Amino acid sequence: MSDNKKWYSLDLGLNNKKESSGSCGCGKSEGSCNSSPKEEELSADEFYEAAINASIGEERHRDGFEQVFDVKMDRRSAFKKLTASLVIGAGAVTTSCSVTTGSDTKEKAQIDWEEQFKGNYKLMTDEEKQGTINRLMRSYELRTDKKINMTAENAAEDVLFGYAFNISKCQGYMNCVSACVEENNQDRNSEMQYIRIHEMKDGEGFKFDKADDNYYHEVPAEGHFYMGTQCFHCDNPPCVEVCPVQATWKEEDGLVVIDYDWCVGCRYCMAACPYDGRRFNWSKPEVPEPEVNKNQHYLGNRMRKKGVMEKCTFCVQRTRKGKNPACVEACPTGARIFGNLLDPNSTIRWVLENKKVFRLKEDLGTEPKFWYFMD
Amino acid sequence: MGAFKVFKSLVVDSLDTITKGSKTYHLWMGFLTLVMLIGMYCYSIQLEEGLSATGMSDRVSWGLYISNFTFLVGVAAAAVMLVMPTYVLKDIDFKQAVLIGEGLAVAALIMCLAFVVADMGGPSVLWHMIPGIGVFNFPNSMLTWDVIVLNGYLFINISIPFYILFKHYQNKEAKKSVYVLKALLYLCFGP
Repeated sequence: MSDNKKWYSLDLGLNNKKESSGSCGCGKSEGSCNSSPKEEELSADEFYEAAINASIGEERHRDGFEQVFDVKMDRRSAFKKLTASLVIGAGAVTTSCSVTTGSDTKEKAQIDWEEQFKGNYKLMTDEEKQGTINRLMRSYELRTDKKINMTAENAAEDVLFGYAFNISKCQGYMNCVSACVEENNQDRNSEMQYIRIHEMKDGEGFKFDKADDNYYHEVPAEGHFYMGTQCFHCDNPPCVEVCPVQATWKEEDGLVVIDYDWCVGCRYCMAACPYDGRRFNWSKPEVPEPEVNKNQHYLGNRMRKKGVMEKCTFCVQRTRKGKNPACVEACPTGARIFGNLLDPNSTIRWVLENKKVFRLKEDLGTEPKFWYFMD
Repeated sequence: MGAFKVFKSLVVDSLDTITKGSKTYHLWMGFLTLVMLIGMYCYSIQLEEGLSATGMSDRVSWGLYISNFTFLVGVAAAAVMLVMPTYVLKDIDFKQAVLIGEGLAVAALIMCLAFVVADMGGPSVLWHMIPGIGVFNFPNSMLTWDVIVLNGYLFINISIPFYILFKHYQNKEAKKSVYVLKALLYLCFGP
């Protein structure tokens, strides 16, 4: 073949085919080399046609909808296809809207979905707050068959909570610590504690590096004094500044709180806190069901997830109802004093006005609302 | 030819290049893949058990993840510093170093971001940090500065070598004004 083409074309075997159909090896360009060349040519065309018919059939002349739905099929293949689609569909149905697997599963999935994509508690309206605590209560009921009571009480007006700690009274009994753990549903496995009681030597001042905050001997030990630390609910809290998602903030009544569901667990606040006031859930917190404190607050002692921060909230679930925090109530020596700083008749105001008080690391400018004093 | 077609054939050609090589190359790649799979398995354990699997505690709240992250930020910065003479001093000899240097920077930055994500207690709620749908506590939180710088740096480090490669693949000269402008952005973002 010597076409004087000016371009190069790939040899895909098309030319050969044409030549073999036009003129075959016997050299004749017309007439017959075999018994019936015309017939052969026809049969090649027919073969091509039949092949296309076999593969796509009528779809050549159809498109879109018709191709899919207007298909000839016999009963057997129709049943096959129906069964296949039923199996696939059934899977989707059971996971989303089945009534046979129980509406509980469906409701659980719905709650989990809404909880996963809810917003920041700080920015929620009161209805949204109510919505999320309703979901959380329902979720707990679905999972354990037990009811809990959770509130989303906002800060009351003209309230600013403050705390005072009497160093000369504390004897290191640690009743406050165990009361706090019980009240706030803290993880029993890792023995998380918000309060630390430091045992320090008399006459040496505060030396936290030399203090023993994990003692197992009889108290009060000779020649020692005790002081407790916990979250100080600073008025200028550095932990709030550093949170990349504003999952922690200062409420109107001075409490520094965390939205456990908004926290991403970067632990920046832990690094920023100069008082070691924050704790992290390194693994899934576990509390035996009968020991769970059922009176909960969204920002307080509700059950936490793994990988989120938590800390002392001055027992927001109690204090917003006018009660004292659990540690104050549990203290047998009366070393702990809690109250409203804006109420001139409160005990805490009396302490601040009549005792020599000081705060820890005051030079940092964090303005803790937690004072120490001595008799 | 449209840019998309060129891009497609660039991808195909590069896939062709990276999947062919000597036996040693394949062994090395297989070994690296194995290391990655082991890492993924370990991360799945961490997802299951929580960060306690890493051995961190309230006393040591930031561990190897964060130290690796800071180290790799340094690697990325150093890699870019290596190629800066090409942009700033117009040193032609250094041009060979540009792509490898920035490739190293990209790899280091991706690992930086991966380390930060691995360090998070709740990687599934990281969308809380995306501005718009979440809350991005921008000027206050130092971590948000990290997020902006790392992602911006990564974007620049990917786009410049890609631009140069893309032009080189078509046997064209890359326009200086495009990448020198971006190179200046480096200096702003610089370590």
